[in-house]
Amino acid sequence: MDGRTAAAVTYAELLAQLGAEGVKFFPLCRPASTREALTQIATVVACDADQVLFDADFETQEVESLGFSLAQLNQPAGAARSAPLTMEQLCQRSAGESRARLGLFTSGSTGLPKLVWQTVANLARAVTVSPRHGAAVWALAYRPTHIAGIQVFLQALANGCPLVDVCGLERAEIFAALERHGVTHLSATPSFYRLLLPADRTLPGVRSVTLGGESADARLMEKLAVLFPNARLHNVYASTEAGTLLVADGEVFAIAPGLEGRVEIHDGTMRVHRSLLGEFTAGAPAGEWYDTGDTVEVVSARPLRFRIVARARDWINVGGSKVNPHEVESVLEAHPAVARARVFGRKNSVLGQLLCAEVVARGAVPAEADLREFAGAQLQPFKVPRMFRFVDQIAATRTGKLSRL
Amino acid sequence: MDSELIRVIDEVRANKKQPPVTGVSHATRLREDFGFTSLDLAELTVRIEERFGVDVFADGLVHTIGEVQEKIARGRRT
Repeated sequence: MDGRTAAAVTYAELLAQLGAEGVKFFPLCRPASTREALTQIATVVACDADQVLFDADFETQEVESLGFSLAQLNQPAGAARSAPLTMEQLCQRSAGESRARLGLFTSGSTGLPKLVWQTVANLARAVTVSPRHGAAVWALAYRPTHIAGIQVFLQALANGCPLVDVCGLERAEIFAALERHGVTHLSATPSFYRLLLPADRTLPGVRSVTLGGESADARLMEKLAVLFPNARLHNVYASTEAGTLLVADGEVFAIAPGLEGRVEIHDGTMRVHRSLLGEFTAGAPAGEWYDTGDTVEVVSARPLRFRIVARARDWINVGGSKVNPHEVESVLEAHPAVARARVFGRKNSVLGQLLCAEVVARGAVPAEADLREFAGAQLQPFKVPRMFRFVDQIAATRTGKLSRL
Repeated sequence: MDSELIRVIDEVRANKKQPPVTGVSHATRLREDFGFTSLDLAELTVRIEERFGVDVFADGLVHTIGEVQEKIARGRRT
């Protein structure tokens, strides 16, 4: 269901489409709309097919440098296996029985995105089916071509829940959609949630709030507890390469049952056993263990619980010293004149990267020198941003995460 | 002496809560005389690039005001 227009496709209509003679799909799919994306994915799941998903806004150049041509995209192929299905069968396929595979592009830290093949079984690892889950109303706040969005879709599809698309909507539209459709379950990036703050009302109908894709800080979680007074807050750790690995209540993660022995902390970073990874077409990690490069802080040893300090892709290397942009953003946001800050690196011939900050002011725009002094009092010099830009809005990348390049 | 360049240098100084520079000549050294650290130079180079369109540190270090001006002039000519 489209969150803005409320135009909807029912599961009955979807099943009818899937049951039609000679159902077709696009093996290389660049969907023009969320509806198209989800219909395509459902078809692939129903037919045990393989499909590569491209974002609608991939530039021609990007598509070509990934080894494809525009002309190949959205060319229909017949499904190898016909798919008249019952809703129950579609649900079971979505919950992990499908032999379909989806080719997804990593959102990447440096260089080009990589293509990773994920089986539906792997993608559905975090899907839970139950009558209680069947009563949920889900909101989709991620792009449907990305792993987070696909997992939300599979969860909704496996339980036959309504799914309301709020991706890309304006703040007021999001509130309206969440309220109008009685959304109970929401999963989104911290950046998406920040869009909703400061809130002039609460959303008491939401029972479950999940944060994924970026590190979430305790201050944001506190504000969300106010915005969603009846919700349980969860953090999800997932990547395109490994799928969903960990879920936390609040900020502190534990290794999920069933994954023990396959996720470990080694020298302060998290490593994942290769059996949990999707299939890389190129650039596959060597060895048995895949170092995610994500830095963790152990909170307790037994049982093992830890916080994610920063994702590998987040660190900014300033002359050899690594800066955690979240740490700097927290410091800046503690300044009374700063509503929101985004810290990022900019290429520099002296030190490799120069630390910059975009700031949304709260009230009158503060003097740059004041912010630098304020930050300098709490941070080592290389962690103090050197260039400030005052903006009305913070830039986000196509995954809805803060742009750090 | 390029007054625009001096203005950029003073910006970097002001952000460190240091006074504007005085008595600048071609031989004035960025590190020793202005007290610029690597971080300051990194910032300076970005500001100069924004103002003049030239990355003065692109082929290696520069040490004096004279060298910076020469790089800017050369960069603008190409």
